[in-house]
Amino acid sequence: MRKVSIWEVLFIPLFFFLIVFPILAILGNVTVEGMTLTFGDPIFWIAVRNTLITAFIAALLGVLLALGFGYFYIFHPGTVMYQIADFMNDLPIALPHTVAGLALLLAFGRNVMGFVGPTGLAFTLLAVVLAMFFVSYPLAARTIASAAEEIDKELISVARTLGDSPPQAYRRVVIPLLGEAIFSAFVLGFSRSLSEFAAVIMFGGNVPGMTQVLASYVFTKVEEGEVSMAVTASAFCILLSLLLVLVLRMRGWSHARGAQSA
Amino acid sequence: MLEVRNLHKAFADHRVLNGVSMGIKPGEIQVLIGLNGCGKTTLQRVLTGILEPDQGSVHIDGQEVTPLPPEDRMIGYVPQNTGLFRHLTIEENILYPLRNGRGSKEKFHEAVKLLSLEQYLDWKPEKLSGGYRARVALARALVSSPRVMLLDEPITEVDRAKKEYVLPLFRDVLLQLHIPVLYITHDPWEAGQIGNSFSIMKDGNVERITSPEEAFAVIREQARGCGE
Amino acid sequence: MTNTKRFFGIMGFFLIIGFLLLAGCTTSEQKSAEKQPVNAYVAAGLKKPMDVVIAKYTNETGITVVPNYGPSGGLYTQISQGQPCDLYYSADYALIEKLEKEGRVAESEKFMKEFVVMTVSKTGKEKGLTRATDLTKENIVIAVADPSAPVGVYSENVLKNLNLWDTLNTKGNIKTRPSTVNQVALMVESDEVDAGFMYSSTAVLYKLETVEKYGYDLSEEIIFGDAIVKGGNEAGAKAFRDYVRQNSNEFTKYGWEMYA
Repeated sequence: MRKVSIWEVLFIPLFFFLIVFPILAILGNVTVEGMTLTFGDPIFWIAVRNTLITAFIAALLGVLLALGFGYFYIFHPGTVMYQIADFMNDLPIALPHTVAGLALLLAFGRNVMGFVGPTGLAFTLLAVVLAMFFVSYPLAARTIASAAEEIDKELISVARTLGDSPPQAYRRVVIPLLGEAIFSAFVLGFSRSLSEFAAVIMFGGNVPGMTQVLASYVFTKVEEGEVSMAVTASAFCILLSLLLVLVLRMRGWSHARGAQSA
Repeated sequence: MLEVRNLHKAFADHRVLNGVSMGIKPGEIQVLIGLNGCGKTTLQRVLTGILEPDQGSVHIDGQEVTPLPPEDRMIGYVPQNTGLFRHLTIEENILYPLRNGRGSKEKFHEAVKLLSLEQYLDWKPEKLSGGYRARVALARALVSSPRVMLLDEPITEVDRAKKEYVLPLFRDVLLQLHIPVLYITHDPWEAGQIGNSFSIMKDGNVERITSPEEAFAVIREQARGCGE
Repeated sequence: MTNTKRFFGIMGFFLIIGFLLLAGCTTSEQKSAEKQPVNAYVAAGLKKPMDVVIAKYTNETGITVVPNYGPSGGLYTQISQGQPCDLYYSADYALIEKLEKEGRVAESEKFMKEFVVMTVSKTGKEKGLTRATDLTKENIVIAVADPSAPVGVYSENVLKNLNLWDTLNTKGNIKTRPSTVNQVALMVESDEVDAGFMYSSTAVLYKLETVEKYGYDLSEEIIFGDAIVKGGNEAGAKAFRDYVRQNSNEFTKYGWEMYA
């Protein structure tokens, strides 16, 4: 019999016990009653729709800004601007989410942005997008920067000798080569946005049927004692996340297949 | 005419370029022989414009280009790993300068013909061997209508048998251009195959030598220690 | 030892230490029975006065009280799931009744009376908001806690009983439903909303201007209760609970009324 390595002995049981088991616990506790109540609740579906749309936009914004960060990383790493941006990348991650929400509220609420509307930018779907963006941008930026690090800087030099200005070289050479990383950054940002709720509640408003997101819907159901609905909604979130991961993997496979035929 | 006057560049108190002065005439293929880590890369970066020298100047056809960025210098550059854009086909790679208004379709066809690349136009760079990738890189640089050519160890990884075939081809193509060419390599034999003048990097300076063989002795000395 | 082996040795060492420390935190300590710490799950709204009383208690008796502050509903769930709790202070007596039905309570009592109030911010005051009925005007921004917090349920009751709930929702004046009463207070305090519904004690705590106070006919009884959980450090819990009662002035100064 083949000698089993310590990695296999430790990893398999720990992984199944600590990661897979809790997920199965949720999926296994879904009841018909829960499903009827939850899927019959229009507030639930509005939360689903709102969450998917806002998370998508937030992730897109995150990627765009992350590409901007990538530009500084490649062309102006010595500058103060870059140092500040690089430092700030870690901040939203370390900030407790309610604090992040409060920060956004104070910055974009009516006391500063009152001219935009009666609540400033706060308590709107835009606020939900901003809160999600705030917490997911750092992940996107790190992903892009890390991939940009891997690109051979000679390619940029060559592009420039062929007449490209730095922005042109970035657009024509760097961004296409970042390819996979851009997609990863988007998926990361999207997932992170889907699961964010403390910052979203503080700044977005959390009004059912208007600015409430799926994560907060689940939380409220738990606190209200509507366990069957909370479980169903959670199971829905889990399956959504699994779908996301599957999509990411499938792209990974098609890329591997593409590379093989070369 | 490529002229370099009194280039100085130091990194953290380590002098890499110590008053480099050199001139290359049109039609001259000067081969700079030397080991890696002794200043060749820094010199190449100053010439292309990626790096600013601490002191000194670079002139092309009488015009001082030192303050100009790479995109304005009209210098053709073939880097060590050929620097082909792997997300583009061979054809798109060679046509790249046209995006910036450089070169023309005619130049493209000419370069492709000269370097026998007709059947590879639809390929992606990763499918080509080292020698052919170098051809593509050269073709691309040619299309950009350069005033000066700079090649940094373009076929260093290719095996000797293929080099014997490719080097004369490159030599002919480069001579036809009738512009100054700086070719960098650590291999004295390769130098002899392609160049019509020779120099070495010594103590942060470029010195002319009469033949590649002279380089052997210097290289042995250098092997004891540069580190860029 | 090779470098990688040493690396894993160190990692494993820290992991084991980490787990031991965690385990040490959750298992009861082997102190003498009288000095055993008391695990108290306390409704978040009681934090300020409770911290003061805990400090006094520890000072006088040397016994540690370990508070776990949170929304009463969440704390209820934890106790219901069997988490180690000796004493439970809930902002909603109904939750204690639920625990009693589950057979988890040794002793319980009604502790304090709380009331729902409407507070206004600086801008709210300028807009002339003095009563709940004023809230149906145009462009008014209101904060009502989400029903995950009991205060949210009570506030909804008030507004429903005043026949204002539907109008306010259709008009869209309820712009935010934060998840805790403190968040509501924060929004009124920072003038991000015109009016907010909270407990009278919260208003006192945040020094907000109260304009209306609602009776139990509108909100339902809001009774803070305390319960000694079965199977824990019941003696310690009892002793601390009695001490809290003796120090009720720490609480009433925040606007609560003791339940006689």
